[in-house]
Parts: sequence; structure tokens; C-alpha cells
Amino acid sequence: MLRSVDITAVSGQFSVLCGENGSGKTTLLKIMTGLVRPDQCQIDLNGKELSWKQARSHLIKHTLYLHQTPYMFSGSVHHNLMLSSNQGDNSATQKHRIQEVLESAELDQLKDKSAKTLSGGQQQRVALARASVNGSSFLFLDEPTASMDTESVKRTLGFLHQLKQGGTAILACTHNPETFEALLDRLLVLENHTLYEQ
Amino acid sequence: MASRADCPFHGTETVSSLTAATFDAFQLLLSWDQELWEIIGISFRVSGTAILVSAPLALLTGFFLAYFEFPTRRVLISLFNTLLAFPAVVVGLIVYLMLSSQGPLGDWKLLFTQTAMVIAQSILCTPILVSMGHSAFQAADQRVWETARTLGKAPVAAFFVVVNEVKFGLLAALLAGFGRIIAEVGASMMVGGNILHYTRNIPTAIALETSKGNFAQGIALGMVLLFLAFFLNAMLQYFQGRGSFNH
Repeated sequence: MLRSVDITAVSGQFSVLCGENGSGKTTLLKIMTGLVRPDQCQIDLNGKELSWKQARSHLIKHTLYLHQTPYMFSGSVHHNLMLSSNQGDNSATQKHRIQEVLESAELDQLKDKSAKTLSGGQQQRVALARASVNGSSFLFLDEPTASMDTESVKRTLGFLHQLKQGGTAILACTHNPETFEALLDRLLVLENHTLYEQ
Repeated sequence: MASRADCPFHGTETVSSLTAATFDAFQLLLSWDQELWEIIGISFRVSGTAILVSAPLALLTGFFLAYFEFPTRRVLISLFNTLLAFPAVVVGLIVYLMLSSQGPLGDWKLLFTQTAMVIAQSILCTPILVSMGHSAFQAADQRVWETARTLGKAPVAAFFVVVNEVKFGLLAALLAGFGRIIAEVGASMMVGGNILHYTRNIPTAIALETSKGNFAQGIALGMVLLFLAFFLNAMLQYFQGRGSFNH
């Protein structure tokens, strides 16, 4: 059960959410991205109260949730990025955008490889690249650097830094907030079903 | 009452008669015997249509059972698993009663038509498609649906993303369903009536030709079914292997 949860997201802000196992971090992230329906909630958008159905369509449109172990669709890395495109077309602009993201995520060399065969760290970068192509304003990451080696953590942080610079508001839940020290703007703690800011 | 002496295959004659009948069967197949290949065509047309008719709703049901929680979900899963063992003759009997002139759908005049066979075969293969479709969708785990949705896909588009991810499992379900209905004799015989050039398919023809002592045609059609069974099993192995590799 979650109560007294109040989060304000600001463009380009990087927040970290900490909490013990089972404290509800993943559930909170899934509610905030419209994937899980809360038992009770009150949602306001620009002063207007929304039903969960209305809120969910806004959340699906503007937010993006990344699993701790991201799911890779069958096909190449490039195909995965194409699937995340909201425009869903083969326009030159879209192709150019995907190429840009592939380069900034250091995935250019892997673009024709099957995404399912990549390492955990590479898959996490593909998932972040998908998020970048998708263009969501709010990114919710579930333990994005768990079980990664140092080099993969460094590359992932580098890409997260680019997304932050680009204006994406990011909230990452983790057990190791120190990993994100260089990016950190806010530290939130979920304890006894309540969210605190430190 | 028939005695053992009436049996056409007896003792050493059995082997030679079987060999001769098998040889004739090959000749029928290879000489493009019109009647034989017409029966094969009817079988494939009826069973293929039955799969096409039942697959969309059955696979969608499998998807809902795998991805959504609702009060009767477990009861429905148990029901479809139980229906896997539904005898073909009972399905034939029910469809016969529904379509007979005294039945509630008698005015449609569908009894002893290919449409009646399609209806019976669709009912027969639906539990297989639901059950195997459910397993295939369940194997894909919840992340596929969540990832597609969080990437902004509308529910229908997200459904097709999931279908693409489990396509080998779904193909295996379709092949298993097709294998079940193309070889069943009970329902087709009852609602189709085994009418030559119209509703006579492979299994009903085998039953008839055997009772007439025309073993060559029975064996030829049996060989087609055996080859089909082998082909479907090989395809199932291939698709199930591809499916497990992808997950």
C-alpha cells in the first residue's frame, strides 16, 4: 500500500528513489507510467481532475517505464528503435533521429545485431535509446544499473546525462544512490508506504 | 455374423495383399487419380477454413486468459483444458442436433454440407487453439505487453506486438489444431454425410473404402494423412524450437 505520495517532476531533473525491498518502488513507478491501476487515486492535470482512464492515456503518452531487465523485441537493435518510434514511419527525419540516438548511445556498431543476444548492459542502453527515440518527457527507471559491470555503468550514466541535458525528467529507483551522484538533483525515500524528500 | 474366414487379410495372404494394396495406392497417388485428389482437396479446404474461422477469437481468448485477471479466468482455463478431450463424435452429435430439420438452426439447411463440417471442426479445434495460444502468450511474460504499452502503443497495436513476439508458439497452436481436425472422422461423418465430390474427406473416405474392401484407396489416403502428420510434427518441432530460443 502506498499513501502520501506527491512528486513534482521538472524538465531536466534527475531524481533518485530509494527504499527497502518490497517498499513499493516498482509499483509506484508502474502507477506513474499508467501500467498499474491504483486502488484509489486523485489525479489533477492543470487544475482539472481526471479519471484514471483519462490519466492513463496522458501517462502512456508522456512517460516511459524501463524494467530492471528490459525486454528486447525480436529482431535487430535498429528494429527495436523503430518499434519505439511514435511516428512509426520510415521518414528521413525518423531515420536520421534513430541514427543519432544509435551513435550517442554507442550502439552504432551493434545496430544490426539481434537485440536478444546482447549483454545486460548493452540491452539497458538499447532500452534507453528506445526511450530517447520515443521522445517521452518523463523517464522512470527501475534499478537501471543493477548487475552491470563498471564499464557498462559508465556508458549508461553517460547516456542518462545526455537525456538529462536534453530536458528529460528522470526518476531512477535504486539501492545505490551513490552510483548516480554526478547526475543527482533530488533524493527521494519511500519508507513506511510514504514518500519523503531528503 | 462374420467369421474369421470372411476376413480379407488372412495368414500369409495378409502380407502379399497389403503389399499389392500399397503398390496400388502409390499408383493412385502418382497417377493423379482425380477422385482421390478431390477428396484430399476437400479435406484441406474444410479444415483450413475451420482453422481460419476459429483462430482469431480463440487466440484472442488465449491472450485475455494470459494477460488479464478477471473473476472467471481460472474456471475458463480449466474449461478449455477439459474440452481438449471432447470426443469428436459428441461434437458431431451436438452440431447434427442443432442443424437437423428439427433443430433450432434447421432452417439454415446446412446439414450434410461443407459448412456443417467447418462448424463442427471449428468447435473441435477451438479448445486446442485457446489452450496452446494461452500457453504461448503466457511464455512471453508481462514485460512484452508493458514495454509495448509504455512505448506508447495503443492496446490493439500492443496486442500485435505481443503476437509478433510469440508467433512461433501461435503457429505451433495452429498446426496442432489443424492436425487434430484434418484426421477426425466422427464429426465429419455425422454432419457431412460422406457425400462423394462434396463432403467426402480423407478420414471418412478411408472408413468407407475399408468397409468396401477397397484397400488401395484407403492406404493411399492413409499415406497422405501419415505424411501430413509427419510434416506437421516436423513443423511443430521447428516452431517450438524457434519459440524457446527466442525467449
